Amino acid sequence: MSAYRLTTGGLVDRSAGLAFTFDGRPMRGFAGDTLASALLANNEVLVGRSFKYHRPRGILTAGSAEPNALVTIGTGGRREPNTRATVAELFNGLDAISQNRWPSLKHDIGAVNGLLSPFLGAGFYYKTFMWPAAFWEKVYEPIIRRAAGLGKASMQPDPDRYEKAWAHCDLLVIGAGAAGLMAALTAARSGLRVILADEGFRMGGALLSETAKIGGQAPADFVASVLEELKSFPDVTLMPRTTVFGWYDDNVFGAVEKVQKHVAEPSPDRPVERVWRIIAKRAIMATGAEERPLVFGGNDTPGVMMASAMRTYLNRYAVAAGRKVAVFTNGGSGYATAQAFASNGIEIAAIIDSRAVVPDVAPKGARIIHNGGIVATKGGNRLSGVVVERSGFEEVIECDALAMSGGWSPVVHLACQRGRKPVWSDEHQAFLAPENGDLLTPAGAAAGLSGLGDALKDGQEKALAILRGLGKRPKLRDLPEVEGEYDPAFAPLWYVPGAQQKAFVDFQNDVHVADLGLAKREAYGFVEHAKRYTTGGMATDQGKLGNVNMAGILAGMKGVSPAEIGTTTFRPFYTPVSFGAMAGTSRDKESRPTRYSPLHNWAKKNGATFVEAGLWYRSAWFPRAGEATWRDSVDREVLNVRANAGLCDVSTLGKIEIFGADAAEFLNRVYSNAFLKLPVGRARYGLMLREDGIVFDDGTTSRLAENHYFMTTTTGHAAEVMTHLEHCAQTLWPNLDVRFVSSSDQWAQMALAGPKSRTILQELVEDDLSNEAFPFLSAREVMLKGGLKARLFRISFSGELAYELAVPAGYGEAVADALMEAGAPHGICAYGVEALAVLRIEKGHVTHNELDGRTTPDDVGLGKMVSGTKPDFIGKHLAGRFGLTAADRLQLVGLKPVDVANTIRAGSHILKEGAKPSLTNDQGHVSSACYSPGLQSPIALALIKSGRERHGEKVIVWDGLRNEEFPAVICSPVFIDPENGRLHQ
Amino acid sequence: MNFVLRHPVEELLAAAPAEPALNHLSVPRNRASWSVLAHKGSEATVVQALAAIEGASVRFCGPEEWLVVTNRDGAGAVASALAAIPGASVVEQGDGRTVFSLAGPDSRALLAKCTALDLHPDAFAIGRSANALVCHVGGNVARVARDTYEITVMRSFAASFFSEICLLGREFGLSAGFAD
Repeated sequence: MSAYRLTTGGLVDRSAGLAFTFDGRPMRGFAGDTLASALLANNEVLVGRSFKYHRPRGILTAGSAEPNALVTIGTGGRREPNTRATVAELFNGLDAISQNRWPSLKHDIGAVNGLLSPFLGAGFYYKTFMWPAAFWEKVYEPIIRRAAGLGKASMQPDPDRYEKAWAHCDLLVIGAGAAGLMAALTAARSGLRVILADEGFRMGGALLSETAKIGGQAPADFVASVLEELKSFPDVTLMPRTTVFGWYDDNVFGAVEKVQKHVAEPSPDRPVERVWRIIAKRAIMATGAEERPLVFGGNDTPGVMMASAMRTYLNRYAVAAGRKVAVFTNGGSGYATAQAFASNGIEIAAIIDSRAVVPDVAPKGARIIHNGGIVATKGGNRLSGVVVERSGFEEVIECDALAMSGGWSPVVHLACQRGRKPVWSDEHQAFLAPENGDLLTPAGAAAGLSGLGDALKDGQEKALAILRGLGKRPKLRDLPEVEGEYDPAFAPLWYVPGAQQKAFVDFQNDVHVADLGLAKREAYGFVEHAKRYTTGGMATDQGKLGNVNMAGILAGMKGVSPAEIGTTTFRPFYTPVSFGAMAGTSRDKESRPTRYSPLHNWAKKNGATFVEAGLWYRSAWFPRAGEATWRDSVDREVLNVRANAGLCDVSTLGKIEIFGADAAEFLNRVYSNAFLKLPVGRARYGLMLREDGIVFDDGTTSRLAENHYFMTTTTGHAAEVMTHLEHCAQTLWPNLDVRFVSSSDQWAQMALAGPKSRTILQELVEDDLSNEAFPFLSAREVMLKGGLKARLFRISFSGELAYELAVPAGYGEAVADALMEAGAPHGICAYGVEALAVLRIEKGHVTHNELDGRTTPDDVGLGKMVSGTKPDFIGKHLAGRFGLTAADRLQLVGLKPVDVANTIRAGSHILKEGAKPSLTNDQGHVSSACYSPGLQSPIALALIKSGRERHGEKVIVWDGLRNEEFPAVICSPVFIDPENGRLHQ
Repeated sequence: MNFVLRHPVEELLAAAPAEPALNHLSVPRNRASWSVLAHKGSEATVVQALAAIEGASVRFCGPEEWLVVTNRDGAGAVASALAAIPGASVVEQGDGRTVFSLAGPDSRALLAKCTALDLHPDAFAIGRSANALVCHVGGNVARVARDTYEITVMRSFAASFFSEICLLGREFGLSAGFAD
């Protein structure tokens, strides 16, 4: 094969030369080239090595179905493996390297695999690497991975940006070939919102490869005039370089747009790829048809190419695939290719036709071999001839390129992605799109039609039908006339008998006819089994070329119609989509949004170390000079809160405002404890259960006015509680008059705790805060000095005299600053969630460490919060079931090590003294643990079998991860102030 | 005591250009807003009463729920008017919601990268609003003029939203600055 660029013709811009490299060698192409057409123009025929046998492979197609010409493009973090050269738009500075070869493409040591092919047949993985099982991960898999496989991913971070976007339209037209252009134009002229998407960088589809005249114009000129008209409509969007890859529920289509994949240095202002979700009232699938390869001996030698691809290279890119071209065909496409070569003065070696009688016209003087077949090819890395067999006689025909055509398969992938299978048509000898109602309509070649004229007409008719369906009045125009088109009709030929070399069905996965025979003999003949057993139809091309031949060959072996074989399952994506495109902007730190507390800046000023808590950043501790570890800071903060006062940001708690005449009744039903009689101006701790009687969430709810309540939830369950309340109000008790809305972000909320907290707070608050005027569990609006309204709650998580002050979020930082200033003479400190945790463990308060979705109120010592008198509340009925009330359930206790040098870690398990660690011997686990600086000992909360009866018992704390065990004593979970004296002082 | 108000994107906007570009994200500091909830059977009267309030815009947030937005200097009058609506409950949200105003010829194209809402004028006319995912966070989008949209997000998400819309706006040369 000797490929070269023609001096005239084509749709490339000869004035715009582009420099690129292939395997380090400098080459030149033109604007308008793909990498594949430029490689061919540079006479690069061998472009890759196959997956399994490392066979030399050349460019087979000119489009997205390419199985062979997979290359790695780019360097560093931009290196992208397995790029199909046939759809890669050439740009100046493009660096491409071939894959799956060592040391070089021409001399590949892995090709020795081909000699081992008797052992590498279908199912060889399952047969060869069965035992010893331990070898799989350590020995077999690494060897297979090194030997097989394609390009290698860059291990560097991707420097480029990606985005997602949404689009809406009345009609989405997928494919801008003859049918798609006509459909879009018809719909646009009648006033629809139209999106026309095409995977190519130049719209026009197969029209760009043809030479017929349309309305007296060359096809490319016709395309240009249609696009020009389409652009004149404000509600038409043209989306070139956009592959519609999937069809989803509600007629939403997924598409990926290559925004900057065709430039060497992408602008940082734009993404390189963008994923679109196109929401379409209707869609037309004008995706064209894929030409079928012929399955004959030696059909994978570089130089063998699809007949239509050769026409594309010739007519669109002005590249001749050879100087002496043979054609092997079963239909009109082969003749059209021969005509195209002949009209460019290129020699036709012969046309080998599997049919006896043909309607097609060969170029003048070309030799035609009817009833013929190819049984072998000559040449290794480059085709030098073919062995033709006819009526038992063999003949070698010299040629440097072979065009093959096995007929056409409509591209029906999208129509089959939502559960319906394609339907075999004897008339078309192809699988056609299933009936999908009026949401997605195939048109043109995708609907099984052949010929340009028919496609134009069908595009118009399908658009007219959609217009009528949407109740629009169509504006009709005459169709342009088509002159000089060929008839692509064909007679099916699944397999050419007498192959003397391997006859490949799936090029990318090296599946040949013998593999299918083996699969059938070994009872893997069902098409889905055959796919997995042989690997046919996998990897980047997903069987776009080979699958139909696989079905035809399996049908032949079984003596049935391909209709009975069917196809494997079609799923998105139509072509590979990069992970970057799917992530969009949601990557690294931005993989989810970040929430900032209104006191974030206050915490930062005070030197906070932050911790991620869900989407939030929370201040964890506030290190000071001289503190070597986080424990030093936390110990100081805890001791200072107990001795003086501390300020902690609790703005992240969920906050819900609840209104209505039935709000009290509503709360009484969602909480397990009583809420009907909560007086105005009072707060109450509340416990919510799930329907199954397990604790769901806890928090406080305050009655701010007769029919106005304010609920707080835990930070982690804020959204879940809101959803739960919505469910209760809308679904369970729609008759109750209750409305609520989240005000989580409205308030900056700070906990001020410690014996000096009242003194400090009083300096900011106008209202009287004495114990008499504002006792424990008071909750009401107060006025800050300077006239700012705030909400004040006397509640405590630490066990100290404590308040929670809520101010409008914008003033949070200023008020916190003022509190710190007022508190400075009293020794106030900022404290974080770590100190908060120590304070609450010392006091025996539970969090979601204990409320872990398995515990009942009684388990965590809150049994008295389950009302026995309320007629009903969520969780009441299942809370009493067997198992939830058993005496040996895990119960909340405190735990202290016998030797204070032993640190208890959360997650450790509890064993009886002398017992071996086992599920049977397990006595429970540590739920929360810390060091108590006040008690100068590690302490913990634990859930232990019948724990409340076992205070004083010595048990073993066993940490299987660190292989530690030591004795500890079970005690009350309340380590400080069990009489609650401090709360009421 | 005189407490200073702090805006959630204050630090992010410090380095922004003063001159607005063709496409501009302006950040008003002085917005006040309220959630208004209609109680059972009162929806029609609440809708009517909201429409009659002067100097405030009413944003639809869901069945029987609206966000009423105005400027802080006129907030007192609007608050009293809201409080007087029978059958409605009102929650102040001015500090909990952050408003962004996006204007410019490419505003719709930019928002197409932020939200799944169909913002075609036929589908989303001036005055329309809806709650939706916007730039990765939950928010309310309102069309206030042909090429001007107001996006309201929760305060804690404001910085995330701001960073994302600025990133997506680079394609259109988006500038950003405080409005007041």
